[in-house]
Amino acid sequence: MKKFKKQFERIYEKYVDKIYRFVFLKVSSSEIAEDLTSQVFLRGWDKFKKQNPTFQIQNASAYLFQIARSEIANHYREKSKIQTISTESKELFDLQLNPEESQSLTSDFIEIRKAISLLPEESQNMIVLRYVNGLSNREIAKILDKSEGAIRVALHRSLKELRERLL
Amino acid sequence: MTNWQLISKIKKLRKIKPRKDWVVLLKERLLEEEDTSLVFDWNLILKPIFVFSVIGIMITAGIVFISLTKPSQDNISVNSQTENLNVALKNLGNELAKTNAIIKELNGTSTNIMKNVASTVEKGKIVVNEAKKYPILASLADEVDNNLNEMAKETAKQAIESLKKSILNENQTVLLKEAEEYYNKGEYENALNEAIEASQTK
Repeated sequence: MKKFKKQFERIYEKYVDKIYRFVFLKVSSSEIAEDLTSQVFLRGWDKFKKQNPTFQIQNASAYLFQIARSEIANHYREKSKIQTISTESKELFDLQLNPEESQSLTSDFIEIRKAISLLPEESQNMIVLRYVNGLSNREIAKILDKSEGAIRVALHRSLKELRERLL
Repeated sequence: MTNWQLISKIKKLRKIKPRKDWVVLLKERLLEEEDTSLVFDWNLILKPIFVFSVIGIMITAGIVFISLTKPSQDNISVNSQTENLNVALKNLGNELAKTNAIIKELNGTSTNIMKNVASTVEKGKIVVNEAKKYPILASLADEVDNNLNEMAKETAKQAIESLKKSILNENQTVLLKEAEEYYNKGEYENALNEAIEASQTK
């Protein structure tokens, strides 16, 4: 058990920020993002315990993001809300910045978040997973259950659309 | 705007990070031994709003208690002490009212929350009983007392409901029955203590 915990601890440390960020960008508050992220790791840990050693650590990222997507969908289903990237800026980030940096960064955040929120949901997911969370096309393909080629093409198209929104 | 510029802009969103204390707490909760409690809902414990409310109550209760037990030097200090107590009791009452609202919204409880509430109620009662000795504070003390009772009642109710949904052994079933009896008699503190006992008994 101790060994399993150690392994899962590594997975947790590697992905907690990424999962939180992915969820945060989809919901309207950091509190909800914390709740949903907690659920993601709780479910992940349950599965890890049951399937170890057959659970492949290299599949952890796909598995955790898939749970995150399902938790977000459940959240919006329960609340009957429309699922989009949140554009609220007031309760953003716990950043240690000087006021000038903070102001310029906040306006950038708002602008880019708003533009991303106007994209179709799958494009939002791809942009966030690829450029915000730094996942490879291969990982994204696993999460979204598509081929790497399809992800590459769709990302190209999403970036083009995003650029147009920002103009 | 080039692709590179656009991607750089998107990458700024990487600054979004969860609170460090929450990350550490969640990891501890995830990987801790799984024998903590049958009704343990660790999500609730991680809610900062609840933690801060309980801490707020404890601090206020502490201030009131220290003020009440501190011997007064003369009439002037007695008056200002009573004024301070008046303000502190009002704050305590407000904190309790806010926390009661939160507890109602939580729709579930955990052993740690139950313990926090039981301890808050116990210490709060000491403060209230001391405050009741001062006629000028009596009505305010009654108000705080009601809030404390409400807090114990709501938490005991949720704890009993959680226990009813759990698979209980023989000892736990007996304790749950006792908790229900206390609850029905209006002895909410005792009901809460029995529920805590039931959730910890193996």
